[in-house]
Amino acid sequence: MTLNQTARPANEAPPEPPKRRPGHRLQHYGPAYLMLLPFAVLFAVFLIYPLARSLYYSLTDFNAIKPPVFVGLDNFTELLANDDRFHKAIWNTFKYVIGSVVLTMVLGLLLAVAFKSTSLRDRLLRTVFFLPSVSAGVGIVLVWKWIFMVDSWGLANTVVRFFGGDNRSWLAEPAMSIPILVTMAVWGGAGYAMVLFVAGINAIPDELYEQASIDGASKARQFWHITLPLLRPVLVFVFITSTIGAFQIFEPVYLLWRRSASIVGGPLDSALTIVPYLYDMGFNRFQLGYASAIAWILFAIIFLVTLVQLRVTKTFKEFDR
Amino acid sequence: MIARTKRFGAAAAAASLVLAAAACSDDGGTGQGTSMDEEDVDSITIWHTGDASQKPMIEAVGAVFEEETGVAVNVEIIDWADAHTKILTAIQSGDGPDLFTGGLSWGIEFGELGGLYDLRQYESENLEDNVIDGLWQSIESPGGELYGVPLNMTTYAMFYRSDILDENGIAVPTTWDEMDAAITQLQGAGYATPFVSTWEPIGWLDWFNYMYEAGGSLYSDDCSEVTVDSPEVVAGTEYWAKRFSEQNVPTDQPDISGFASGEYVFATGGSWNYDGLATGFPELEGKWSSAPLPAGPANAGSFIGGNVIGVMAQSEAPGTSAAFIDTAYSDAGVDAMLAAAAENNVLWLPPRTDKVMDTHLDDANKQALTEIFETSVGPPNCAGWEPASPNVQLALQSIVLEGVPVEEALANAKTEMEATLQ
Repeated sequence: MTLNQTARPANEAPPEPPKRRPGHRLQHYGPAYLMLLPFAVLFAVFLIYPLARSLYYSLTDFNAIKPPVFVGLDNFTELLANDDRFHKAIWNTFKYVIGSVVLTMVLGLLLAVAFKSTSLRDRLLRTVFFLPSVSAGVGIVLVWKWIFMVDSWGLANTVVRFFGGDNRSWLAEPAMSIPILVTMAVWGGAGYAMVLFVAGINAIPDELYEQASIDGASKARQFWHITLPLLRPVLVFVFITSTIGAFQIFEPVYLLWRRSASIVGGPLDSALTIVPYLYDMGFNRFQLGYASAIAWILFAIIFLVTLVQLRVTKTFKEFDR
Repeated sequence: MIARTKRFGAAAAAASLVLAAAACSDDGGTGQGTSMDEEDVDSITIWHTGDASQKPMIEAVGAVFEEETGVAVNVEIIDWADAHTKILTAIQSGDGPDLFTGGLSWGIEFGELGGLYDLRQYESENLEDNVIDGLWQSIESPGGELYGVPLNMTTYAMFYRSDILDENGIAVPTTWDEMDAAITQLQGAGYATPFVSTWEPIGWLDWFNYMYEAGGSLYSDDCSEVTVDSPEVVAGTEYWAKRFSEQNVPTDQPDISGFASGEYVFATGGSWNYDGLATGFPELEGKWSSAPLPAGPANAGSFIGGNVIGVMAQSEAPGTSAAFIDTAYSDAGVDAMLAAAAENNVLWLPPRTDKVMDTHLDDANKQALTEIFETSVGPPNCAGWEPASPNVQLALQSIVLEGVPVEEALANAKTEMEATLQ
C-alpha cells in the first residue's frame, strides 16, 4: 500500500463508521460485563459504599448507638485546629515514618549489596534476614515486649547490666517510644526490602560493571553511578509501599502500650500515632464521626505524600533524559 | 498503578476500622420490666469478658439457674482486649447476647448509650443488700439507674515477701510512714528496688489509691464539681510521685516473677496475683502473704474493679436475664461459683463480702481480702470521667516523667475533667 492510495483530499468528508445494529455493543461486550459483575458488586458493596458511608459519618456526630447528627466540617475543624492529641499523633507518625522508611531502605540496600549472589552462604543469609517478614506479627511484637521488659530478665536490661548500667523502664520512657517502634520496623522490614533490591540488582546487566571496571571505576563509583540509578524503579516501589505501610502503624503501639480499656499511646502519648488514635476515638470513646474524620485526614495525608513521591520520581526521570 | 491501588487500599483500610462498627445504627432502648413468666425462652446467652479459666464459674451458676428455672445458660468467653468493641458492636447492631460482663464502668457507659436495661425495673431478692458499699458510686448512674452489678471483683492488694521481712526484722507496714521506713531499711540491706507496682504504676488506677488514702476525691458527692485540685489530692499525688523519684519504683509495670525471685519485696497489684503466685510459684508457699495497702493520713483504701454484669437492650428475655443475675447473688449461686473456682484452682472473688471467707485462699490471705473489701472504693460514676480519664492520666504522667509541679499538673487535669463534666 502506498501513501497516494491512502491520501484523502482535504475537502472530502471522512468516511462514516459502519452502522451497527442496535444492541450490537451489548451483544459484543455483554459477556465481559457479566463476568465483571461479581467483582463490581463486591467492589461497590465492600469498598465504595463503606467509603461513602465513612465520608458521611465524618460530617456527623455519631456514637454508633444513636442516629448520626450532621455537624458539617466541625470534626475536621476540631481535629486540625484544637485537638492537641491529634497533632501529637501526626507528629509522632511523621517521626516514625521518616525513621523507619529511611533506615529500612538503607539497611535493606546494604544487605542486598552484601548478599546478592547465588552462593549458598548468601542464599542462607537472605533467608535469615527475610524470616521476620513472614513471621506472625503479634508474636513478634510480644517478643519485643519481652525484650524491653522492666524486669532484670528483660533482654535489653540484661545487656545494660552486663555493661554496668541499671535496669531501665524502656516502655515507660517517652523518649524511647519512637526509637523502639522504628527498631522493630527496621528489623521486620529490612529483609523484605533486601529481597526486592537483590532482584533489582541482579537484573542490571553485568556488562555495565565489566566496562566500568575496565575504565578503572572503583566499587563505590560503580554503586553510585550504575547500581543506584538502575535500581531507581525498585527504590521508588519500596519507598512508596513502605511509606504507606508506616503511616498505618497500629499493632505494635496497641500491643506494647495498651494497658487499660481507654488508654492508648504509651507514656505521655509518646507512641500515639494516627491509626491508634483513630481506634481510640472510634472504639473506646464511641466517637465514630470523629474517628471517620481522622480516617479521611489520614487518607489525604497518604494521598499527598504519594503524590509528592511520584512527582519527585517523575522529575528525576525527566532529568535523566 | 501499584501506588494507586495501595493508595486506595490505605484509605479503605483506615476507614474500614471505623466502618466495621458503623455500618448501621439502631436505637437502643429500655424494657418494660417483663417478668420471667411472661417470657417463653429455653435458653439465654452470656458473653463473659475474661479468660477461659473463668468459664466454669459462670457455667456453675448457670447450672443452678437451669435447675431452678429450666432455662439453660450458654456462656461465651470474649477477651478483654476485644470485649469493649464487641459489646459496642452488638449493641449498635441489635444482634448479641442476652447478658454481658465487662469492666466495672461499662454498665453506666453502655447504659447511658441506651444499650442496657435498668435492672431496677425487675424484682430482685439478693442484689440491693449485697453489693459492696464502695461500689455503689461506680455502678449506679447519676440518674439512679442500675445498668449493671458486679459479678466478680478485682482489687489492689499489697503482696509482700514474709521471709525477707522476717530476715530483716520488719513488720508488715500498715501506714505510709511505716512503708517509707521499710523501703529505706531494705534499700540499706541491698534491695535496690524493694517496692513495685504491678498494675499500671504511672496510670490513674495506681494514683487513685494514694489520692483516696490522702482523703481526696475526683468529684464532689453530687458530681457537680471537680475536686481534683484539693489539698488532699495534692498530698496524695505528691506521695505517689515520690515513689518514683525517691524510692526507685519502676515506672513500667514489672512481672510478678521478680517478686518471686526476691528482687522485689513488696508488690502492689491486682488480686489475680494470688493465682499467679500460688500456681506459678508453688515453691514460694509460706514465703509470701498479702495485706491491705498501707493507709494514708485520711483513709485506708484500695481501688476496686471487676466484671459488671448487665442485660443487653436487644435481649428478648430481659426478665429471665435479670433473674439470672439475681441467682448469681444468691447463696446457692455464689457457693456454686466458689466451688467451681476451688475445683479449678482459680481465684474468684464474689461480689458479696460475706463470701470472701469461703474462697480457697489460705486464712491469712482471706483475712487480708476481707479487710481490703471493707475499705475498697470504685471509680466515680460521674458522667464525663470515662472520656476525661486518659487526659488525667497524661497530666499525672507529666509529674513523674517530666517533673511538672503537682499543683500545675492537677490544674491541667481539672481543666480536662471540667471540659467533660456534664
